[in-house]
Amino acid sequence: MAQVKEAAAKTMPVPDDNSMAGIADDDALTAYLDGELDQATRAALEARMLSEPALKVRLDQLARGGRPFGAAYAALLAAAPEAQLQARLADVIAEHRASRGRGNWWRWAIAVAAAIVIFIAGGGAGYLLVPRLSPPAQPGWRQVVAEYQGLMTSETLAAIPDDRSVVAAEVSAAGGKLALALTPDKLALPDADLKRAEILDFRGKPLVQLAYLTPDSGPVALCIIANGRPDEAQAFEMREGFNIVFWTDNGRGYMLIGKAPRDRLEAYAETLAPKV
Amino acid sequence: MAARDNDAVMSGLAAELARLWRYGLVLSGNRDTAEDLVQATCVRALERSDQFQPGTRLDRWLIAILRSIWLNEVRSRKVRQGQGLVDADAVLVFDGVRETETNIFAAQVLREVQSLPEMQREAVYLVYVEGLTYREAADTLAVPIGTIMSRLAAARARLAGLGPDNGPGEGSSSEDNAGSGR
Repeated sequence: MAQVKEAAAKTMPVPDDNSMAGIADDDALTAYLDGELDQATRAALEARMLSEPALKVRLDQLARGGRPFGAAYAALLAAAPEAQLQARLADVIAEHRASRGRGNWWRWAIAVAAAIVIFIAGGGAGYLLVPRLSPPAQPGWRQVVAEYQGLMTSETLAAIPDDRSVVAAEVSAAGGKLALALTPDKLALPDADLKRAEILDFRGKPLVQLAYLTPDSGPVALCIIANGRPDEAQAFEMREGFNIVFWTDNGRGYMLIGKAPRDRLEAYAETLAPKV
Repeated sequence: MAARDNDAVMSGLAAELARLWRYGLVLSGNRDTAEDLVQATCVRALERSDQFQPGTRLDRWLIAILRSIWLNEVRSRKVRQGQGLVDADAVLVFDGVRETETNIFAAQVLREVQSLPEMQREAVYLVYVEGLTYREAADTLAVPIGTIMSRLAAARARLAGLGPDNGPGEGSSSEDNAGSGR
Protein backbone atom coordinates (compact mmCIF):
# COMPACT_ATOMS: atom_id res chain seq x y z
CA MET A 1 0.00 0.00 0.00
CA ALA A 2 2.91 2.27 0.69
CA GLN A 3 3.80 2.13 -2.96
CA VAL A 4 0.30 3.03 -3.99
CA LYS A 5 0.45 6.05 -1.81
CA GLU A 6 3.80 6.99 -3.20
CA ALA A 7 2.70 6.68 -6.79
CA ALA A 8 -0.44 8.67 -6.22
CA ALA A 9 1.22 11.35 -4.14
CA LYS A 10 4.02 11.76 -6.61
CA THR A 11 1.78 12.86 -9.43
CA MET A 12 -1.14 14.48 -7.76
CA PRO A 13 0.50 17.73 -6.73
CA VAL A 14 1.67 18.41 -10.28
CA PRO A 15 -0.28 21.54 -11.06
CA ASP A 16 -0.18 21.93 -14.80
CA ASP A 17 -1.38 19.12 -16.88
CA ASN A 18 0.71 17.19 -19.29
CA SER A 19 0.06 13.74 -20.64
CA MET A 20 2.29 12.02 -18.09
CA ALA A 21 0.41 13.54 -15.21
CA GLY A 22 -2.87 12.61 -16.86
CA ILE A 23 -1.89 8.96 -17.14
CA ALA A 24 -0.73 8.77 -13.57
CA ASP A 25 -3.95 10.43 -12.43
CA ASP A 26 -5.78 7.59 -14.09
CA ASP A 27 -3.81 5.19 -11.94
CA ALA A 28 -4.64 7.06 -8.76
CA LEU A 29 -8.31 7.35 -9.70
CA THR A 30 -8.46 3.66 -10.47
CA ALA A 31 -6.91 2.80 -7.12
CA TYR A 32 -9.47 5.15 -5.57
CA LEU A 33 -12.33 3.34 -7.26
CA ASP A 34 -10.91 0.01 -6.16
CA GLY A 35 -10.55 1.09 -2.56
CA GLU A 36 -6.79 0.63 -2.70
CA LEU A 37 -5.77 4.08 -1.46
CA ASP A 38 -4.95 4.68 2.14
CA GLN A 39 -6.88 7.24 4.13
CA ALA A 40 -4.53 10.20 3.60
CA THR A 41 -4.07 9.73 -0.14
CA ARG A 42 -7.76 9.20 -0.56
CA ALA A 43 -8.55 12.41 1.30
CA ALA A 44 -6.02 14.32 -0.75
CA LEU A 45 -7.50 13.04 -3.98
CA GLU A 46 -11.02 13.91 -2.86
CA ALA A 47 -9.88 17.40 -1.99
CA ARG A 48 -8.35 17.79 -5.40
CA MET A 49 -11.53 16.65 -7.08
CA LEU A 50 -13.43 19.47 -5.40
CA SER A 51 -11.21 22.05 -6.99
CA GLU A 52 -10.58 20.23 -10.27
CA PRO A 53 -13.85 19.34 -11.98
CA ALA A 54 -11.94 17.60 -14.77
CA LEU A 55 -10.56 15.12 -12.31
CA LYS A 56 -14.05 14.27 -11.11
CA VAL A 57 -15.22 13.87 -14.70
CA ARG A 58 -12.33 11.51 -15.32
CA LEU A 59 -13.24 9.52 -12.23
CA ASP A 60 -16.76 9.06 -13.54
CA GLN A 61 -15.41 7.99 -16.91
CA LEU A 62 -13.14 5.39 -15.38
CA ALA A 63 -15.95 4.18 -13.18
CA ARG A 64 -17.87 3.42 -16.37
CA GLY A 65 -15.04 1.06 -17.28
CA GLY A 66 -16.10 -1.15 -14.41
CA ARG A 67 -18.19 -4.25 -14.99
CA PRO A 68 -19.79 -6.91 -12.81
CA PHE A 69 -16.70 -9.00 -13.46
CA GLY A 70 -17.22 -11.44 -10.63
CA ALA A 71 -20.77 -12.27 -11.63
CA ALA A 72 -19.85 -12.62 -15.30
CA TYR A 73 -17.04 -15.06 -14.59
CA ALA A 74 -19.08 -17.00 -12.07
CA ALA A 75 -20.79 -18.67 -15.00
CA LEU A 76 -17.44 -20.17 -16.01
CA LEU A 77 -17.11 -21.82 -12.63
CA ALA A 78 -20.34 -23.64 -13.27
CA ALA A 79 -18.90 -24.88 -16.56
CA ALA A 80 -15.91 -26.50 -14.84
CA PRO A 81 -15.74 -30.29 -15.30
CA GLU A 82 -15.88 -30.82 -11.58
CA ALA A 83 -16.10 -34.62 -11.65
CA GLN A 84 -13.09 -35.03 -13.93
CA LEU A 85 -11.07 -32.56 -11.91
CA GLN A 86 -11.85 -34.35 -8.67
CA ALA A 87 -10.94 -37.67 -10.26
CA ARG A 88 -7.64 -36.26 -11.45
CA LEU A 89 -6.92 -34.87 -8.01
CA ALA A 90 -7.63 -38.26 -6.48
CA ASP A 91 -5.10 -39.82 -8.87
CA VAL A 92 -2.52 -37.18 -8.11
CA ILE A 93 -2.93 -37.65 -4.36
CA ALA A 94 -2.73 -41.43 -4.65
CA GLU A 95 0.47 -41.17 -6.65
CA HIS A 96 1.87 -38.60 -4.33
CA ARG A 97 1.28 -40.85 -1.36
CA ALA A 98 2.80 -43.79 -3.18
CA SER A 99 5.92 -41.90 -4.10
CA ARG A 100 6.19 -40.24 -0.74
CA GLY A 101 8.84 -41.34 1.69
CA ARG A 102 11.97 -40.27 -0.10
CA GLY A 103 12.40 -37.48 2.40
CA ASN A 104 11.90 -38.80 5.91
CA TRP A 105 13.62 -41.77 7.37
CA TRP A 106 10.50 -42.93 9.17
CA ARG A 107 8.55 -42.84 5.97
CA TRP A 108 11.29 -44.96 4.58
CA ALA A 109 10.93 -47.35 7.43
CA ILE A 110 7.22 -47.64 6.73
CA ALA A 111 7.78 -48.08 3.02
CA VAL A 112 10.41 -50.71 3.55
CA ALA A 113 8.30 -52.50 6.11
CA ALA A 114 5.33 -52.43 3.77
CA ALA A 115 7.47 -53.71 0.95
CA ILE A 116 8.74 -56.57 3.05
CA VAL A 117 5.20 -57.46 4.04
CA ILE A 118 4.15 -57.42 0.42
CA PHE A 119 7.22 -59.43 -0.51
CA ILE A 120 6.48 -62.04 2.12
CA ALA A 121 2.78 -62.05 1.34
CA GLY A 122 3.61 -62.62 -2.28
CA GLY A 123 5.62 -65.66 -1.32
CA GLY A 124 8.71 -63.90 -2.55
CA ALA A 125 7.49 -64.22 -6.09
CA GLY A 126 6.58 -60.57 -6.60
CA TYR A 127 8.81 -57.65 -7.20
CA LEU A 128 10.52 -56.23 -4.21
CA LEU A 129 8.76 -52.91 -3.99
CA VAL A 130 11.42 -50.97 -2.17
CA PRO A 131 11.93 -47.57 -3.68
CA ARG A 132 15.44 -46.64 -4.71
CA LEU A 133 17.59 -45.50 -1.85
CA SER A 134 19.44 -42.81 -3.76
CA PRO A 135 19.17 -39.37 -2.19
CA PRO A 136 16.53 -37.17 -3.75
CA ALA A 137 18.39 -35.12 -6.33
CA GLN A 138 16.56 -31.82 -5.74
CA PRO A 139 13.93 -31.15 -8.38
CA GLY A 140 16.12 -32.92 -10.86
CA TRP A 141 15.78 -33.24 -14.58
CA ARG A 142 13.96 -36.55 -14.43
CA GLN A 143 11.28 -35.02 -12.25
CA VAL A 144 10.86 -32.08 -14.59
CA VAL A 145 10.69 -34.37 -17.60
CA ALA A 146 8.14 -36.55 -15.83
CA GLU A 147 5.93 -33.54 -15.17
CA TYR A 148 6.30 -32.51 -18.75
CA GLN A 149 5.40 -35.97 -19.93
CA GLY A 150 2.31 -35.79 -17.76
CA LEU A 151 0.89 -33.13 -20.03
CA MET A 152 1.32 -35.22 -23.14
CA THR A 153 -1.40 -37.45 -24.50
CA SER A 154 -1.59 -39.79 -27.44
CA GLU A 155 -3.49 -37.05 -29.25
CA THR A 156 -0.55 -34.71 -28.80
CA LEU A 157 1.63 -37.01 -30.85
CA ALA A 158 -1.00 -38.44 -33.16
CA ALA A 159 -1.66 -34.92 -34.38
CA ILE A 160 1.86 -34.67 -35.75
CA PRO A 161 1.88 -35.73 -39.38
CA ASP A 162 4.36 -38.48 -40.23
CA ASP A 163 7.04 -36.91 -42.32
CA ARG A 164 10.30 -38.79 -42.34
CA SER A 165 12.38 -35.94 -43.65
CA VAL A 166 11.10 -33.58 -40.97
CA VAL A 167 11.79 -36.09 -38.21
CA ALA A 168 15.23 -36.81 -39.65
CA ALA A 169 16.07 -33.11 -39.63
CA GLU A 170 14.83 -32.70 -36.06
CA VAL A 171 16.76 -35.73 -34.90
CA SER A 172 19.92 -34.52 -36.54
CA ALA A 173 19.61 -31.07 -35.00
CA ALA A 174 18.84 -32.53 -31.60
CA GLY A 175 21.85 -34.83 -31.82
CA GLY A 176 23.99 -31.85 -32.69
CA LYS A 177 23.05 -30.22 -29.40
CA LEU A 178 24.31 -33.28 -27.56
CA ALA A 179 27.35 -33.91 -29.76
CA LEU A 180 25.76 -37.19 -30.80
CA ALA A 181 25.28 -38.38 -34.36
CA LEU A 182 21.62 -39.33 -34.12
CA THR A 183 19.54 -40.68 -36.98
CA PRO A 184 16.01 -42.05 -37.09
CA ASP A 185 17.46 -45.49 -37.92
CA LYS A 186 19.52 -45.55 -34.77
CA LEU A 187 16.49 -44.53 -32.79
CA ALA A 188 14.08 -46.99 -34.37
CA LEU A 189 12.01 -49.17 -32.06
CA PRO A 190 10.04 -52.21 -33.19
CA ASP A 191 6.58 -51.19 -32.06
CA ALA A 192 6.80 -47.45 -31.48
CA ASP A 193 6.77 -44.60 -33.98
CA LEU A 194 9.30 -41.83 -33.54
CA LYS A 195 7.12 -38.74 -33.94
CA ARG A 196 9.26 -35.82 -32.97
CA ALA A 197 12.58 -34.65 -31.62
CA GLU A 198 12.53 -31.55 -29.49
CA ILE A 199 15.43 -29.49 -28.26
CA LEU A 200 14.79 -28.29 -24.74
CA ASP A 201 16.87 -26.78 -22.01
CA PHE A 202 17.21 -27.78 -18.40
CA ARG A 203 18.96 -25.15 -16.32
CA GLY A 204 21.31 -24.25 -19.10
CA LYS A 205 21.99 -27.82 -20.19
CA PRO A 206 20.79 -29.11 -23.53
CA LEU A 207 17.98 -31.60 -23.11
CA VAL A 208 16.51 -33.51 -26.01
CA GLN A 209 13.21 -35.27 -26.02
CA LEU A 210 12.52 -37.94 -28.62
CA ALA A 211 8.83 -38.66 -28.54
CA TYR A 212 7.46 -42.02 -29.60
CA LEU A 213 3.86 -43.08 -29.92
CA THR A 214 3.02 -46.66 -29.05
CA PRO A 215 -0.27 -48.19 -30.14
CA ASP A 216 -1.13 -49.64 -26.75
CA SER A 217 0.66 -47.56 -24.11
CA GLY A 218 0.49 -44.04 -25.45
CA PRO A 219 3.48 -41.71 -25.50
CA VAL A 220 6.95 -42.95 -24.63
CA ALA A 221 9.93 -40.64 -24.68
CA LEU A 222 13.66 -41.04 -24.74
CA CYS A 223 15.23 -38.01 -23.12
CA ILE A 224 18.90 -37.22 -23.18
CA ILE A 225 20.63 -34.48 -21.26
CA ALA A 226 24.27 -33.47 -21.58
CA ASN A 227 24.97 -33.07 -17.88
CA GLY A 228 28.54 -34.25 -17.53
CA ARG A 229 27.65 -36.67 -14.74
CA PRO A 230 29.67 -39.81 -14.04
CA ASP A 231 28.49 -43.06 -15.54
CA GLU A 232 25.63 -44.74 -13.77
CA ALA A 233 24.22 -48.19 -14.43
CA GLN A 234 20.68 -48.62 -15.67
CA ALA A 235 18.02 -48.34 -12.98
CA PHE A 236 14.28 -48.09 -12.69
CA GLU A 237 11.94 -45.76 -10.86
CA MET A 238 8.42 -44.41 -10.96
CA ARG A 239 7.55 -40.75 -11.00
CA GLU A 240 4.29 -38.98 -11.61
CA GLY A 241 2.75 -42.32 -12.47
CA PHE A 242 5.29 -43.05 -15.18
CA ASN A 243 7.72 -45.92 -15.43
CA ILE A 244 11.23 -44.66 -15.97
CA VAL A 245 14.38 -46.51 -16.97
CA PHE A 246 17.46 -44.35 -16.69
CA TRP A 247 21.21 -44.46 -16.89
CA THR A 248 24.20 -42.20 -17.41
CA ASP A 249 26.84 -42.82 -20.00
CA ASN A 250 29.72 -40.72 -21.23
CA GLY A 251 28.55 -37.49 -19.62
CA ARG A 252 24.95 -37.85 -20.77
CA GLY A 253 21.93 -38.76 -18.75
CA TYR A 254 19.32 -40.92 -20.45
CA MET A 255 15.79 -41.75 -19.49
CA LEU A 256 13.03 -43.73 -21.11
CA ILE A 257 9.69 -42.68 -19.74
CA GLY A 258 6.14 -43.78 -20.39
CA LYS A 259 3.11 -45.65 -19.15
CA ALA A 260 4.42 -48.71 -20.95
CA PRO A 261 5.30 -51.60 -18.61
CA ARG A 262 8.69 -51.71 -17.06
CA ASP A 263 9.92 -54.72 -19.01
CA ARG A 264 8.99 -53.07 -22.28
CA LEU A 265 10.91 -49.93 -21.39
CA GLU A 266 13.88 -52.06 -20.39
CA ALA A 267 13.72 -53.81 -23.75
CA TYR A 268 13.67 -50.41 -25.45
CA ALA A 269 16.67 -49.37 -23.40
CA GLU A 270 18.50 -52.48 -24.47
CA THR A 271 17.81 -51.67 -28.09
CA LEU A 272 18.69 -48.01 -27.89
CA ALA A 273 21.55 -47.79 -25.39
CA PRO A 274 24.24 -49.23 -27.66
CA LYS A 275 23.25 -46.92 -30.51
CA VAL A 276 22.92 -43.62 -28.74
CA MET B 1 5.36 -29.95 10.75
CA ALA B 2 6.01 -30.56 7.13
CA ALA B 3 3.46 -33.31 7.23
CA ARG B 4 0.85 -30.92 8.57
CA ASP B 5 1.50 -28.28 5.93
CA ASN B 6 1.23 -31.07 3.48
CA ASP B 7 -2.16 -32.01 4.86
CA ALA B 8 -3.38 -28.45 4.63
CA VAL B 9 -2.51 -28.37 0.95
CA MET B 10 -3.81 -31.84 0.26
CA SER B 11 -7.12 -31.27 1.98
CA GLY B 12 -7.52 -27.78 0.56
CA LEU B 13 -7.00 -28.64 -3.10
CA ALA B 14 -10.40 -30.18 -3.73
CA ALA B 15 -12.22 -26.93 -3.01
CA GLU B 16 -10.04 -24.95 -5.45
CA LEU B 17 -10.23 -27.09 -8.55
CA ALA B 18 -13.05 -25.26 -10.32
CA ARG B 19 -11.44 -21.87 -9.82
CA LEU B 20 -8.08 -23.16 -10.96
CA TRP B 21 -9.72 -24.63 -14.02
CA ARG B 22 -11.35 -21.30 -14.79
CA TYR B 23 -8.01 -19.56 -14.53
CA GLY B 24 -6.45 -22.21 -16.76
CA LEU B 25 -9.24 -21.65 -19.26
CA VAL B 26 -8.76 -17.90 -19.20
CA LEU B 27 -5.03 -18.30 -19.76
CA SER B 28 -5.07 -21.02 -22.37
CA GLY B 29 -8.45 -20.63 -24.00
CA ASN B 30 -8.70 -24.40 -24.12
CA ARG B 31 -10.77 -26.61 -21.86
CA ASP B 32 -8.48 -29.62 -22.07
CA THR B 33 -5.36 -27.57 -21.48
CA ALA B 34 -7.11 -26.04 -18.50
CA GLU B 35 -7.70 -29.51 -17.10
CA ASP B 36 -4.09 -30.48 -17.64
CA LEU B 37 -2.97 -27.28 -15.98
CA VAL B 38 -5.07 -28.04 -12.93
CA GLN B 39 -3.60 -31.50 -12.70
CA ALA B 40 -0.04 -30.24 -13.06
CA THR B 41 -0.78 -27.59 -10.45
CA CYS B 42 -1.99 -30.24 -8.00
CA VAL B 43 1.13 -32.31 -8.57
CA ARG B 44 3.40 -29.32 -8.05
CA ALA B 45 1.49 -28.10 -5.01
CA LEU B 46 1.79 -31.46 -3.29
CA GLU B 47 5.47 -31.72 -4.06
CA ARG B 48 6.11 -28.29 -2.67
CA SER B 49 3.56 -28.32 0.09
CA ASP B 50 6.28 -27.65 2.65
CA GLN B 51 6.75 -24.27 0.97
CA PHE B 52 3.17 -23.28 1.63
CA GLN B 53 2.99 -20.91 4.56
CA PRO B 54 0.25 -21.92 6.96
CA GLY B 55 -2.08 -19.03 7.61
CA THR B 56 -1.70 -17.62 4.12
CA ARG B 57 -4.24 -18.15 1.41
CA LEU B 58 -4.01 -21.43 -0.40
CA ASP B 59 -5.92 -20.15 -3.42
CA ARG B 60 -3.38 -17.38 -4.05
CA TRP B 61 -0.54 -19.82 -3.77
CA LEU B 62 -2.19 -22.21 -6.21
CA ILE B 63 -2.94 -19.45 -8.68
CA ALA B 64 0.73 -18.50 -8.72
CA ILE B 65 1.74 -22.12 -9.30
CA LEU B 66 -0.71 -22.58 -12.14
CA ARG B 67 0.43 -19.40 -13.80
CA SER B 68 4.05 -20.39 -13.51
CA ILE B 69 3.37 -23.77 -15.11
CA TRP B 70 1.44 -22.11 -17.89
CA LEU B 71 4.12 -19.54 -18.63
CA ASN B 72 7.19 -21.70 -18.24
CA GLU B 73 6.07 -25.03 -19.55
CA VAL B 74 2.81 -25.27 -21.37
CA ARG B 75 2.59 -21.99 -23.18
CA SER B 76 6.15 -22.02 -24.43
CA ARG B 77 5.58 -25.53 -25.66
CA LYS B 78 2.45 -24.52 -27.51
CA VAL B 79 4.26 -21.65 -29.13
CA ARG B 80 7.04 -23.97 -30.24
CA GLN B 81 4.48 -26.28 -31.68
CA GLY B 82 3.05 -23.44 -33.68
CA GLN B 83 -0.26 -23.33 -31.89
CA GLY B 84 -0.49 -19.60 -31.71
CA LEU B 85 -1.85 -18.08 -28.58
CA VAL B 86 -3.89 -15.62 -30.53
CA ASP B 87 -5.88 -18.52 -31.89
CA ALA B 88 -6.39 -19.88 -28.44
CA ASP B 89 -7.80 -16.57 -27.34
CA ALA B 90 -10.13 -16.38 -30.26
CA VAL B 91 -11.29 -19.92 -29.67
CA LEU B 92 -12.22 -19.26 -26.08
CA VAL B 93 -15.77 -20.49 -26.03
CA PHE B 94 -17.80 -19.81 -23.01
CA ASP B 95 -20.05 -22.77 -23.50
CA GLY B 96 -21.79 -22.65 -20.21
CA VAL B 97 -22.41 -18.98 -20.47
CA ARG B 98 -24.52 -18.63 -23.53
CA GLU B 99 -27.26 -20.95 -22.53
CA THR B 100 -29.68 -18.52 -20.97
CA GLU B 101 -30.85 -15.08 -21.90
CA THR B 102 -29.77 -13.70 -18.56
CA ASN B 103 -26.27 -14.83 -19.34
CA ILE B 104 -26.02 -12.80 -22.49
CA PHE B 105 -24.74 -9.87 -20.52
CA ALA B 106 -22.22 -12.06 -18.74
CA ALA B 107 -20.97 -13.37 -22.07
CA GLN B 108 -20.61 -9.81 -23.30
CA VAL B 109 -18.49 -8.91 -20.28
CA LEU B 110 -16.30 -11.95 -20.90
CA ARG B 111 -15.83 -10.94 -24.51
CA GLU B 112 -14.94 -7.41 -23.51
CA VAL B 113 -12.33 -8.61 -21.06
CA GLN B 114 -11.03 -11.10 -23.58
CA SER B 115 -10.54 -8.28 -26.07
CA LEU B 116 -8.17 -6.45 -23.74
CA PRO B 117 -4.42 -6.72 -24.27
CA GLU B 118 -3.11 -9.75 -22.44
CA MET B 119 -1.45 -7.93 -19.57
CA GLN B 120 -4.47 -5.79 -18.83
CA ARG B 121 -6.69 -8.81 -19.06
CA GLU B 122 -4.61 -10.69 -16.55
CA ALA B 123 -4.65 -7.82 -14.07
CA VAL B 124 -8.41 -7.45 -14.47
CA TYR B 125 -8.91 -11.14 -13.93
CA LEU B 126 -6.79 -11.39 -10.82
CA VAL B 127 -8.03 -8.23 -9.14
CA TYR B 128 -11.62 -7.89 -10.29
CA VAL B 129 -12.57 -11.53 -10.71
CA GLU B 130 -10.39 -13.38 -8.24
CA GLY B 131 -10.44 -10.52 -5.78
CA LEU B 132 -6.70 -10.20 -5.25
CA THR B 133 -5.48 -6.98 -3.72
CA TYR B 134 -3.10 -4.87 -5.79
CA ARG B 135 -0.31 -6.14 -3.57
CA GLU B 136 -1.26 -9.78 -4.10
CA ALA B 137 -1.63 -9.28 -7.84
CA ALA B 138 1.75 -7.56 -7.99
CA ASP B 139 3.34 -10.46 -6.16
CA THR B 140 1.63 -13.02 -8.35
CA LEU B 141 2.68 -11.32 -11.56
CA ALA B 142 6.09 -10.31 -10.19
CA VAL B 143 5.66 -6.66 -11.18
CA PRO B 144 5.62 -3.44 -9.16
CA ILE B 145 2.31 -2.47 -7.64
CA GLY B 146 2.25 0.66 -9.80
CA THR B 147 2.21 -1.55 -12.86
CA ILE B 148 -0.94 -3.26 -11.63
CA MET B 149 -2.54 0.15 -11.19
CA SER B 150 -1.55 1.26 -14.66
CA ARG B 151 -2.86 -1.90 -16.27
CA LEU B 152 -6.17 -1.65 -14.47
CA ALA B 153 -6.46 2.04 -15.31
CA ALA B 154 -5.76 1.30 -18.96
CA ALA B 155 -8.30 -1.53 -18.91
CA ARG B 156 -10.92 0.72 -17.37
CA ALA B 157 -10.23 3.43 -19.92
CA ARG B 158 -10.64 0.93 -22.74
CA LEU B 159 -13.79 -0.59 -21.37
CA ALA B 160 -15.22 2.87 -20.85
CA GLY B 161 -14.59 3.53 -24.51
CA LEU B 162 -12.01 6.17 -23.83
CA GLY B 163 -9.35 4.60 -25.99
CA PRO B 164 -6.07 3.17 -24.83
CA ASP B 165 -4.36 6.50 -24.40
CA ASN B 166 -6.03 9.72 -23.60
CA GLY B 167 -3.34 11.83 -25.12
CA PRO B 168 -4.26 14.82 -27.23
CA GLY B 169 -4.69 14.13 -30.91
CA GLU B 170 -3.82 10.50 -31.37
CA GLY B 171 -6.83 8.67 -30.14
CA SER B 172 -6.09 5.63 -32.22
CA SER B 173 -6.38 2.16 -30.80
CA SER B 174 -2.88 0.80 -30.89
CA GLU B 175 -2.91 -2.64 -29.27
CA ASP B 176 -0.29 -1.87 -26.70
CA ASN B 177 2.30 0.69 -25.93
CA ALA B 178 4.87 -0.57 -28.38
CA GLY B 179 6.23 2.09 -30.70
CA SER B 180 4.62 2.52 -34.06
CA GLY B 181 7.75 1.24 -35.72
CA ARG B 182 7.79 3.59 -38.66
